[in-house]
Amino acid sequence: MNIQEIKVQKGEKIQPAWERLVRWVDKLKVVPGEGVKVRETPKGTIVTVIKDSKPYRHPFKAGVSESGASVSAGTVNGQTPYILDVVTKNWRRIDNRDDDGNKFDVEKPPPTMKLDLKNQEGGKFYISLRVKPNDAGTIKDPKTDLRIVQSPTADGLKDGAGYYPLALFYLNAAGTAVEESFQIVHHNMRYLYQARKSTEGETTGNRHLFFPV
Amino acid sequence: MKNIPLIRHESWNSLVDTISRRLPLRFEVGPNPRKWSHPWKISPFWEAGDEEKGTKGQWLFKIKPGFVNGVEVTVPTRVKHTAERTITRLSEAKEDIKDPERMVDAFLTEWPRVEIGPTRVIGTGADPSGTSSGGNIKLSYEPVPKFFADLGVTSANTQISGNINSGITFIDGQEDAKKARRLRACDVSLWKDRPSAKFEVDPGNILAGIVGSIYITYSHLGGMKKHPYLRVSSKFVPPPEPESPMALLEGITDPEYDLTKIATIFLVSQPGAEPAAPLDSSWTPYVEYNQFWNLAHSPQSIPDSTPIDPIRLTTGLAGGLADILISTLLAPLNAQLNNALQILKSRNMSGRFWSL
Repeated sequence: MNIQEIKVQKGEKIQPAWERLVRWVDKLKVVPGEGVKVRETPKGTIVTVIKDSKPYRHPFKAGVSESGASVSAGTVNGQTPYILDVVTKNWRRIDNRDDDGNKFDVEKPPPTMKLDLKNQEGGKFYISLRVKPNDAGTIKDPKTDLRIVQSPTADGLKDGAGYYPLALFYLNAAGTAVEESFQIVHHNMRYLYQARKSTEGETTGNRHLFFPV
Repeated sequence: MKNIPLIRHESWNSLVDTISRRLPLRFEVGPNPRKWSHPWKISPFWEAGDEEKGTKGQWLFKIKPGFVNGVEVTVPTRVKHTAERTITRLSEAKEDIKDPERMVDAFLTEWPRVEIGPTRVIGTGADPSGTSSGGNIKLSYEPVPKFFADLGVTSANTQISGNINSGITFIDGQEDAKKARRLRACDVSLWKDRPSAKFEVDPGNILAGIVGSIYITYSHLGGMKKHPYLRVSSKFVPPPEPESPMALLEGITDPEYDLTKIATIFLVSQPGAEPAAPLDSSWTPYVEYNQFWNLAHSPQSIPDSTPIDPIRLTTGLAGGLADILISTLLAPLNAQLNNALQILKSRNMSGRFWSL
């Protein structure tokens, strides 16, 4: 509506002019579009423009694709785990750096592990941390003792190492592809090995404890 | 006489109000929302009933799966509220799922729908949680959270004055029945079964001066669930702790589970609802969370595997014949029960949930 249309002339009937004014006020209403929030208050209208939303990036974020699974950077006791890269066939740090923690001179694609869709139980499998502590309960060499592996259950492979699942994956009914994933770990982790010995010296009740930090 | 067109003052002021709501425009840059919802996020919704089938509408919720030690959590729900994954899994396990009303355990990762079962009343119409007296008897109630008081939920405020001789008068709180809103709530809690430390009492020989011997064992009475599980109850009640020696005599020992509260689901009525109004689609749900992250859980300590000698409850005097004074009997018994309590506390497998 042209603003001139709501102006009145001397001697003009008031009722039609009033109705024109009401229609004009009705058109003042702000209509929210996508990414815009409109809130009317007694003291005016607040228009909030929502920025583009970004996905939540956190340590150990696991993702799967046709080529395999990758895990974003994260640490256990300040040390970076390794993953068996499907391309180079080498165990590589998940933060895509060399063994000394330096960036590669020539950038490499992030390491991706191959998934075995038959390594599952009940149509589910896990991407897990595997920690193999030494006798002192510490992680001596992350390349061999701190790895990310696939396991069919949350408990891991019951080989004496400590397992902690990072993410759970559901397969589709045919078992040919990942249908849905559930992230379990959102933080860096602290690992503690707790060995208990009875008075007779027999080791009982060893525990692998994982804490979010 | 010529008619003079008039604008009613209500119309004029209404237009001014409309203009002042729409102008001025204030622009803000909104927060950067992340496409992420935390574990245990609850989404309540109303499921309409079906008159032809004779089913009533009800409040249900879905919950974003949370994990404990990376292990999946289950929740009991009816077959009719389960998703395809649950049906497939139970069918493969050859469980009977023909009855849609049957309760089964579903993994949260199977996205079951869960009934908001019995709720408690908060505010007007609530059951008292305690009493105090000072001339008049004043009943105490679970307070209405400020957020809901601001929405118009009225507090319960019943006082009882007088006595049996003079007559008792009930005075309820004042409220505007046309504006007052009602509040219901239920709690969602997380449980984890575990073995508990139990005392087994072997009755002794009073003539030998031994009232009884106590042995400690670790067991679960059966049906210990492998997975942690959720429960929905009208009110979360923390497990009893054996704080006093007398608790042992009352049978309060080490519970067979650990639990923690995940969230409270509140439902608020429209203004003017009766205090006993049933829950229907007009109520509005709100959720207050106690947990936002996946949880870790472990026993606080692994009980020492060293066997302990049975605790013998003895009277002060051998033979017991001269031990007729209650006080002299109680003193050593109390000391021994204290001893038993300390052993129970140090030898139990109670655990704690924690996250960041």
